[in-house]
Amino acid sequence: MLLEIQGLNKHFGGLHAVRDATFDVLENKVTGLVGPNGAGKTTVFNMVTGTFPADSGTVVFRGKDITGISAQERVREGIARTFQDVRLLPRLTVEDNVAVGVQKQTGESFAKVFFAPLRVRGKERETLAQAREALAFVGIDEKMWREPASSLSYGEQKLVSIARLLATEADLLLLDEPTSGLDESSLDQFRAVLARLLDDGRTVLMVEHNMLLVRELCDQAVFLATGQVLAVDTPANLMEKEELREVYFGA
Amino acid sequence: MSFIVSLITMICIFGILSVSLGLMTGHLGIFSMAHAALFGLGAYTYAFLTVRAEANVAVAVIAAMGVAALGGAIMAIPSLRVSGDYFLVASFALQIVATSLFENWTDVTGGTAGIPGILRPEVGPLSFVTDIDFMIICLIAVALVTLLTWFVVRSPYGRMLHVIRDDETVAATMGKPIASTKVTVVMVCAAFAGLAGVLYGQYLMYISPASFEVHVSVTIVTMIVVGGMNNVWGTLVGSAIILLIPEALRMMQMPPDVAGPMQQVFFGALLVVLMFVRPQGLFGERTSSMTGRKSTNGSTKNDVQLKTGEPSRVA
Repeated sequence: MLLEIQGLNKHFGGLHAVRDATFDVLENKVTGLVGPNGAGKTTVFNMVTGTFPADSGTVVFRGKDITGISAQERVREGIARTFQDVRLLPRLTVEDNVAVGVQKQTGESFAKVFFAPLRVRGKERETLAQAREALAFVGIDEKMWREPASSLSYGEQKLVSIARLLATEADLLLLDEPTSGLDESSLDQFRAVLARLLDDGRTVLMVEHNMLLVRELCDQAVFLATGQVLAVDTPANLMEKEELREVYFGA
Repeated sequence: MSFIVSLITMICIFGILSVSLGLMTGHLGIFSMAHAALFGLGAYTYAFLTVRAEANVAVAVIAAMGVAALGGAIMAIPSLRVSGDYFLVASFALQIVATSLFENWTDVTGGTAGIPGILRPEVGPLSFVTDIDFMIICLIAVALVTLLTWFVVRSPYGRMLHVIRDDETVAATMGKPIASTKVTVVMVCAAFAGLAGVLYGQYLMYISPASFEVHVSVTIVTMIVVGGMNNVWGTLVGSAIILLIPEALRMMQMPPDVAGPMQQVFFGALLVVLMFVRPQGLFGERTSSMTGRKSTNGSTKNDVQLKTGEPSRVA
């Protein structure tokens, strides 16, 4: 078990956004987080990555309780995420957008920029190599690497945001709606990237709305509605359950 | 001749101010209206220590930059909580507090009368008493500040600043230390502003609160907006342009009672036109920091083999 979520709660004012969420994420598998809009999927993401703290409950990663540590420290522990709205930095080059993910950069210390310029330069060379490797991994054409990120198509931007996660060397990748808004060919690219991530030993937790894709891509699915985990099962079994279909499709 | 020397000296001093504000605003996204306050902290600390306490010049310069940096640290505190327009208002308040301090802490600042009799530095056999010698000092100072800033912006540190500027949430999830970075950069920019204050006091040999009021902050902001706050050279050129405009208008030999208002009209018109035509300022942002350098052979400079075909551990 890579990640254990135990009794997680979050309130926003009067809204109990996540109640007693408990589920596990299996190592080197794809776990889908499904449920209607407003079910609390992104809130769970935010609590796992430390964007905001949980009101109660614990997040255990690789056997270590990480509930109290900051978002920055969680990246170093090996958890990284994408965003529903992609959030590349449009003014930076594609390459720089990915290089941002590389951890422990010598050049991110103000003093070292001046007093250890050679070490900074050497590390920067490694950083860029790592960024380019990640871009090649997700299949972004080399011609685009030095262009501003704003010049990429939406599908390409989503792939670059995955490359940014790879650059962090995190083992657990949280993908927030990675397939939304993708056309058929971008979707194929995403399928290929996902398969290669698993070959590479990574673990994926992803929010996904399309049940057909959940069945195709996920090994396990967690069904969330109004902040509660209603079921954890294989996608095929989940889709059999009448009461969940009612919640999701309202039919 | 002396007119040109004086103009160049002022462009250098304000160049230090606009380049340092540009680093904070254009690269880290902290839009401050209190740069003149930091400028004043440096000037007053230096003047007080050399004139009243008769301290050593070198000690006084370092102390002036240090006090300004401390002022910067205080200023950085609201930037950890609020950003954009909200920080602008907070910095405006700090500017008002500083002006009030300069005007009313009479024992130290001399109140509205200011501090006269500030001496230009004489270090051993080297003396920088003449205007031309002093201009050379200012040229060296602005060159150093600009090069240091340019070096920071182009380094991986600059890339981290741009991430924090553009999206703090992404910066945090990518493991970037936001609070400490903001405090560090604002303190460095404040120390630069303090240095400009030292030079200003030495040059005019007299300081008073009027030189460090909010309208001076506005002028520095105008410089970086006109020149292009995201570009280090742009901020430098911006200070030259804003200081040259009044001189150019003077050349047109207007009656003095028209020249004053005309200058305001001209500044206003320039800003409005620029907002429409080139909102990013005269100099735009380079799209990337260190990685922007194009390699000569058109491909990457790194000799790392890219394993495009096979799945591999990206590490």
